Amino acid sequence: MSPEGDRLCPRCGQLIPAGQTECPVCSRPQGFLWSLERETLVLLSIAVLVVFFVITGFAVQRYHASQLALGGRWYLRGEAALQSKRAEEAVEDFHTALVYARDNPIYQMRLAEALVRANHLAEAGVYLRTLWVTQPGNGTLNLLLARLAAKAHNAPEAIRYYHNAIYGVWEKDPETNRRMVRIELSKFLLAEGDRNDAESELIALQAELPPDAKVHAEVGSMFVQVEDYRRALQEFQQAVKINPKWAEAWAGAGTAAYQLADYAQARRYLERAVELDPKNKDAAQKLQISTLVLELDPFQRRLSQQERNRRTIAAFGQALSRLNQCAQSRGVNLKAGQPTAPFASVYSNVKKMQPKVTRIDMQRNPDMVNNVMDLVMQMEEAAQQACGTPPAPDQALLMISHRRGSTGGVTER
Amino acid sequence: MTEPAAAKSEIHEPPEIPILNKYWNRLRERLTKIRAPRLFLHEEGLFLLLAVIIGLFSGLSVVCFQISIDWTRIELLGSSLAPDPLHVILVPTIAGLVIAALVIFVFPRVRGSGVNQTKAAVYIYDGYIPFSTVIGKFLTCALAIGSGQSLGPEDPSLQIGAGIASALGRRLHLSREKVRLIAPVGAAAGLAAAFNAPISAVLFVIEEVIGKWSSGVLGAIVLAAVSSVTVLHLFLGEAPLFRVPPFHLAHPSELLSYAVLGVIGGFASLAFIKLVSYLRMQSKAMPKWTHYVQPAAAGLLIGVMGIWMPQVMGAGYDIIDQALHDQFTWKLLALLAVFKILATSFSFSSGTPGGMFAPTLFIGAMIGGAVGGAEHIFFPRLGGSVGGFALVGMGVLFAGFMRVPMTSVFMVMELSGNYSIILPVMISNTIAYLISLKYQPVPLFDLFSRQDGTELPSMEEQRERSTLLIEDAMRPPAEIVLRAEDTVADASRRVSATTLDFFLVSHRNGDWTSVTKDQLRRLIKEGKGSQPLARVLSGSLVPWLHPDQPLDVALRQIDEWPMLPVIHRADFNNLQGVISLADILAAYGAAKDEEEHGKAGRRALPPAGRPSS
Repeated sequence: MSPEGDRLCPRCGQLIPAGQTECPVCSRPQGFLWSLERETLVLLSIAVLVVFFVITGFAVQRYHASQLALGGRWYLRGEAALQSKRAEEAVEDFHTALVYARDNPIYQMRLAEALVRANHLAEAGVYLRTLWVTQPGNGTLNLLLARLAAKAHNAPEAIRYYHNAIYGVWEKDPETNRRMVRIELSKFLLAEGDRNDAESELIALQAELPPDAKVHAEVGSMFVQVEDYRRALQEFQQAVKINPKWAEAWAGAGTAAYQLADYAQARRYLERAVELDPKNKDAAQKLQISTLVLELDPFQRRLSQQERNRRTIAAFGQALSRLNQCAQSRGVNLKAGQPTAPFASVYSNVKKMQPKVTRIDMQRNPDMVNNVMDLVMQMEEAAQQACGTPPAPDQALLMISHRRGSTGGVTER
Repeated sequence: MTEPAAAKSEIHEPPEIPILNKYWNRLRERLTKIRAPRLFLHEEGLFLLLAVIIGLFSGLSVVCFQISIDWTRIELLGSSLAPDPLHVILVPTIAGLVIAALVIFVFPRVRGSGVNQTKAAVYIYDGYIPFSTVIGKFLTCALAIGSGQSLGPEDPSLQIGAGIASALGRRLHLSREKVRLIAPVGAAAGLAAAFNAPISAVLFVIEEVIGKWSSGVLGAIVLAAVSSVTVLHLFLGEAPLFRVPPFHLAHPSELLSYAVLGVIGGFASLAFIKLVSYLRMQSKAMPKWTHYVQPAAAGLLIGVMGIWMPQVMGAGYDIIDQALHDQFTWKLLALLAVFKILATSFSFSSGTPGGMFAPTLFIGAMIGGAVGGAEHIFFPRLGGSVGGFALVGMGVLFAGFMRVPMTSVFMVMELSGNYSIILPVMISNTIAYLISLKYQPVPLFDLFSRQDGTELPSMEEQRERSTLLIEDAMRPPAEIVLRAEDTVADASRRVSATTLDFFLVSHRNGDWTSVTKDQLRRLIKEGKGSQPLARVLSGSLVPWLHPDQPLDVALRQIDEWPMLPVIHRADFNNLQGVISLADILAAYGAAKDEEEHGKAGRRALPPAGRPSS
């Protein structure tokens, strides 16, 4: 049929083909349906409606199934992309997955995560906040929002969302998730320099830690960062108890004990750490210092007076040698003329004290140990001030001096 | 459509296959014998029941239609959001050829706007919409939208609903008046299911198709819309068309930003209308053979655009959803708006069947998002959330392009489910509507109908047309107004000096009667000169009017009265003026002159019956 010359029927609007005078619709003999009664027709319509319902239901069922399958397929692609760190691709895939399953909370979360990883922070923020309106108690959602706020250095908002996540709903393994969130919050607080709040979170965390060496060690490390060495030591002790062959945990325990100036315990832990991991230089250095402290400390208990004096005299000699070396490296001749600061006052004291630091004098006057060790501390501090970090034996002397300052005399063991 | 009575008794020829023939005859006999209980004798009751049935049918059809569009898209373009370039170019082009063949050879009535075809059914064809149009719209639009043409499913859904309603109404032998009204009922049902927004659908049909709030049809429209949306919820879930982000107007100063959006949206609507109407005129004016390839050419252009911007293909609901969630930069949003305007103009003007609702919402969301995003960057203190702007933008384009201000406001509110958005929406939509009205006096749908050579009633023109009131035609009160307590002699003496013959008589109770000079003379001759007029006048009461009533009320009341009193609404004896037939005609004449002189050039297009092509 060609549209050329066609016209519309003025009665029904149907097209009258060219060459015909009558409308094909109006002139058509009326159908069988026209002869039925109105009521019959209504019932017939309802019957047709029921059939239509069934057919549509069947079609919709298939449609939903295919949508679900497509959504799943794109979701898996997105997961794979996310696993292989192709965040941009993952964003596209999760977007597509959500076209087929718009309200799937897992896809939504993964898209949000992909957006965060692809650094589409503004987009992720809006997306997450939209989801948050409908699920304000969702743990994952709050965690993602907290991470976004943390990235934007919006501490109050981040803390609020972290807390929401801690007290929120987690579908799977809520305890572990809550613990992980609290650890993350503690790390964030540490990064923000808020040690007090971080310590509070860590103390809350300590009570609910599982028997997992890694977790204990991680928490122990954070306690070290907030300088709560006693709790740190407890956590590392738990870790080594669970996994005695884990060098890092031994090293952590040794460090915590070292910071607590419990050098005997530190040496024990650090020896084990170095034994398990000989490459751990920090542990080896701390072990060396701890050993030296234990060997050089004249204030240790159960030492004979003779040994105490010997150690004091050795410490004096070591400190004086360090002072001379440091002065020389700075171009200062201590024996000739007036030494400059910081050597001046120390050296004048040394000159006064040096003739008295003999076994005989010290035997006669046991209190001299204190005076000599005070001077040792002054010498080491002056040398440190002028020449920086001292070698291990001198560090050990400084440690002994500091410990003595904090404990006020004889130290344990 | 009225059917010839003789034709009704005739029966279709049965199918030629003998076995089917047998069953067909058996079924026919049984159906003819059925005597259903006469429950629906009342036309009104049947009309309401039918509205529900229409709503259910329309809802089911729209569900199937939406599924078909999705399936077509997945089958033709694949399930990815960014299909490969070869598919993107070839699919809409080849589909365009198929659509052109279907439209030209099989379903010639599916071309054009469903809104206008429904209006034509109401105002021209006595509610008749051929059922082949329903099938044609379903198939061609599913193919067009599924293949990536930049069109939406709402307008076809509206027409599918209207077509179903028309078929049912005619089959059930409704009265001519009801058959006329049944198409808008189906239209509302179709649109409600397509939008998942029954209030907007009802308002749209009333605002654009029917043009008046008639209680007779309102109930049926509401029932149909509710039924269809219920079916949609049952099968496709209750989720709204878009997931709308939370909206909160933080400070009244944000309204300034929305006013800016109204201005930009208004001019964008204007550009869109001008481009669509220009391209449509051009494509209609092209040689006939080009109609076979126009949809394919549009498909090719859209495919080329789709290589770089796959977002402009199809209805674009997912993209609107993403724009609502601030997932594009403002520059990309602006580009998407421009390219969508181009793509939709190409698709629609090529004669590809499909609707403009979804593209309008798309463009509005993109413009809104772009304005919101730009304001965030350049005037960070001014703007609200980008999602909020995108949402308001949808309403803005709807108001400016479709020119349905009420529907646009309620649509945004219904889609967002948020009342606090009402202020920005009202401000932006009004500004956009006024800009569009100022620079494009003929609304979009009227423009299309005039391009097609029909003159459908313009609802906007009806709304905008100033109604003549009685106060526009009335004269000051007559010189002499008699009182009912006056004696006949006094009255005769008072009227003797005037040349007038007809006098109004005011009664204490607020009634008005009349008397002529001849009557007074006769009464005096009969010796009743000392009697009050109230006692001797036996004529009927003169109908009275009020100044604020429409002038056509006076026309209906005036009958053979030489003049009618125009009285105060609170004091019936207070005569404000009088009005005669000559006054009424003079007022109409003056109004016509004013309209012709004052609004010259308002109609840029030729009147109906003289299509420009």
